[in-house]
Amino acid sequence: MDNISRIQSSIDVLEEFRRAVLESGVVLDEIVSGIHRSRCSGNNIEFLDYRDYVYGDDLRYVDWKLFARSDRFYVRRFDDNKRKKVYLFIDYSRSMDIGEGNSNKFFRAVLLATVVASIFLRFGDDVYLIFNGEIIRLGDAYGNPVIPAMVRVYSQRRFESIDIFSNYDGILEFLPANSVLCLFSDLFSDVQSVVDKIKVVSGSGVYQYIFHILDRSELNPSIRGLRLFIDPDSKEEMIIQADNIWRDYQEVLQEYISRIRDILTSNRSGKYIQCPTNVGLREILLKLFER
Amino acid sequence: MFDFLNPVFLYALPIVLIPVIIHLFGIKRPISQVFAPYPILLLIKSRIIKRKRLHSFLLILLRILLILLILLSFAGVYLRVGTTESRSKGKCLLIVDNSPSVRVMSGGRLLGEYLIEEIERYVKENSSTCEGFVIHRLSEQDRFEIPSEEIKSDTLIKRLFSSSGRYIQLYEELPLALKQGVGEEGFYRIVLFSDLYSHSVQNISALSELIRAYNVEVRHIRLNPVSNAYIEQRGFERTGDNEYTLIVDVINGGESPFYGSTSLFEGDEKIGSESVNIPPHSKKEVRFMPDGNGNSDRERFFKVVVEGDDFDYDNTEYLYYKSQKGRKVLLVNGEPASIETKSETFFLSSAIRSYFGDSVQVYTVLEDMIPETPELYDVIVLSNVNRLSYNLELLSKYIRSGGRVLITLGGRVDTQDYNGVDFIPCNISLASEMKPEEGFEISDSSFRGEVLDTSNLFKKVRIQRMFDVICPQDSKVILKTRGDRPLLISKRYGDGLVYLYTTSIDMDMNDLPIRKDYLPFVATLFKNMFSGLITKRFVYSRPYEDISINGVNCKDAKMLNIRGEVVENRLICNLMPDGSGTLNIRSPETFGFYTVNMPDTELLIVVNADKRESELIRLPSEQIESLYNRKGYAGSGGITPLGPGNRNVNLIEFLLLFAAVVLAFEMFVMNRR
Repeated sequence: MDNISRIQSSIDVLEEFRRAVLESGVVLDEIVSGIHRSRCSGNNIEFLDYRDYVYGDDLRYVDWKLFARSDRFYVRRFDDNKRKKVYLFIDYSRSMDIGEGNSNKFFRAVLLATVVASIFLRFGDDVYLIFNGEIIRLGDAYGNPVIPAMVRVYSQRRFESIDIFSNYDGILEFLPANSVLCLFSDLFSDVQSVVDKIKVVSGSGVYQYIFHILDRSELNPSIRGLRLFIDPDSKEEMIIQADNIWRDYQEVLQEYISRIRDILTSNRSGKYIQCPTNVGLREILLKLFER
Repeated sequence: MFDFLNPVFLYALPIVLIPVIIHLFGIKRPISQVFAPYPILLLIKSRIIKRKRLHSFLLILLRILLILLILLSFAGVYLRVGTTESRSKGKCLLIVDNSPSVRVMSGGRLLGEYLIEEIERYVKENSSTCEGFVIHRLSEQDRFEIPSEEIKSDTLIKRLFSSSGRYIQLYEELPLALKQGVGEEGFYRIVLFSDLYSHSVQNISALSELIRAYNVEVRHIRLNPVSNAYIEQRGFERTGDNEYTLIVDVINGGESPFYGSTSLFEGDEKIGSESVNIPPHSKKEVRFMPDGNGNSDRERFFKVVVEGDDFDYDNTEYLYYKSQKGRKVLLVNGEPASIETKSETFFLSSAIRSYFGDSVQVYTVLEDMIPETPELYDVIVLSNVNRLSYNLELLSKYIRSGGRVLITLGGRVDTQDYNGVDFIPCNISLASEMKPEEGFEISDSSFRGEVLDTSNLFKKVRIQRMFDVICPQDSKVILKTRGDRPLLISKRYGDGLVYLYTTSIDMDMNDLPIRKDYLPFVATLFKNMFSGLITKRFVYSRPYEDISINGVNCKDAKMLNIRGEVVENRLICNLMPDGSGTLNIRSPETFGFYTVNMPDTELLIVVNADKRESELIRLPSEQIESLYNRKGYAGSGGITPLGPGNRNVNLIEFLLLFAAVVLAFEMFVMNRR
């Protein structure tokens, strides 16, 4: 891909993400009208320090007295224990590189992460992106506006043959209590291991949103004949006469999903949202806010 | 226990391994497929593999079973039920083929005589083991027990060949004989005495299956090459007004040439003969010109006989010549005219000819030229005849003896003369003043024919003049005008019928002849007049053949032979309430002419030989025996005693049925992959 087409592609993705964020805003207005927009009530807020004003900061937090003294805009920062820390964790294993264009699983994962990040930021929460071993704080105030940051993540994608769940519970080491972890993944890893890790995180007090990104062909496969199935991550192979196995497959897949859903709902430690790539954003957001 | 008809097929048993070999070598190369939900597949892998193994195993098993069943069917597996040693003595059943084919002359003797010699020999050899002998006649499908000491040639010939015999297919008739009254005890032995004559190798195959299944011992009566001449009629060809030629084909259906003669008989009188020389399986056309005796159009009974061959059964062919002329109508024209259309009977004769065609012959004469022999005519029409008294005696006699007369009136009629005649249905007088009437209708429902069965007919017909009538009670008004004047009246007189039409049959007094209703009216009128006359029908038949004749009044029907003797138990009459019925007839076994007399129909049945056994295209005896010998039965001399309930059960049908079920199951399993 030459530079011009790469730039054009990035512009397209940017436009797509921007439109998604706008749409999510509309949906959010419909759904949560009447609900207090911020989880910060003003109580238990302790002053922490000042920082320079940047465009977009809420003018309510500008220290006008200091402005009068120094002729510069400073914004007050608070340590707010009601303010959630939200961590977005996007699966970048090879199994996520399924589908073309906007139906690509990884594209959908990043798009959803963008929308979710913008929603949490709108609620005044702190949003962090865990990607490729880095933790990036998102928000204009921190030099990482959401959409450009996510476009960058998508543009610099590099799929690896890894089991992202091998370190999933390791995230707990730096995740503060009462934080929120949003996982964007197809969950196609060792099934028992995935279930165990989700269970561990669930028991630690971290609230998990699991966005299960699935291609249509994974939900309802129509493959026939003798096939050599290859695992994109582990490269394992298996020969199966694929004519009469899909009923069993669907049963097992649903059973797997049910187990994850049960873990999350049993102690109210999270929410499972199935996100097929062919389902619209609005529908997914409705599921997200569904009680 | 199990035995095989064609054990050679058992050598092919290793082919049951073919499905296993196909399974082992027929593994296909799979198509690669990157599949993200691979971990899910891992969870169902064991389940799939277990099912796949079971499926493959079941499929291989079914295919092996299918091949095995087909092989066993080819091998002709059968089950021996019971034990052959269960009895040492019992009655023996001798099934004798007494069909026409064993009545052939072979080597100067009747083949049946050889057959009876063979029976005598068999009885002599086996009188110590057979407690009695039951002889079954295949042609009649009946049986009788006869003590061994009474089995002698002359007695047996009489009993076996008493009738002319019936054509039979051995493989169809043998099972009937075998299943008839074997009973609990069964027979110690069953022996078939036959020439094993069959039309095809397939029939031989079917017969040999039966012989094997029932352990029948076969005594084959060998036949030398024979000549067999028989007749096939081609019909009568008209060669002139009073002449015709009888054409027949003389066919030699045997293997030897035929030298002999063909003769034509009428009654017992020979009226023609011709020598013929025909190679095997060829035919020759023979023509006879029967002497017409000045009147060729009478019915005649012929018999064509060939002489000089080895097979007498089919040597005589009976033929019937039916008079070509049908019903006859005599029109007596009381008012002829030089212009044809002005003639009194012009419209009537045109209508009769148009409707009935050749089946009714119309003769027209003037009133002073009525022939002396009116009985030659079925119907006489007197149209506008001046006086009836001139021919009173002739007409009265004709009507009394069953004749039909239609009297149509007109301007020339002398009413006084007419009223003095006793067969006239009503007193007539010409209507002095009359307003023209429009339309007439049917007043007697029995007059309604197929073309008149509508109430709209005749309503536009305009009648300007007609005769007033006064009718006694014994007359029946059939048609009347709208003004209730009788138009057509009938009266029974002696055995005959007189019809009176009270206006003219031409256009002098009405416009009916130019109406479209005229033709149907005439047709129905004449059909009514013809009804009740005896109809002569004839049919060609074969011995024992079932014939069905519809639309006859068959009550009290009787069958008579040529000598006028009643032939019993041949007729079944199914009569409907309206008098019509269906007569079912079983043809007599003896050839010749038979008549069935019914009130309205005389039926002639001409019984001739069944020709299906006349083409003696049979395989040479050695070949027949080799065909049976291959299966190890006929002529082999091997005797298998048949004990109580001891018979072979043929399993081939069951195997094939089972194979079909297995195949269906295999396809079902295949579809569930």
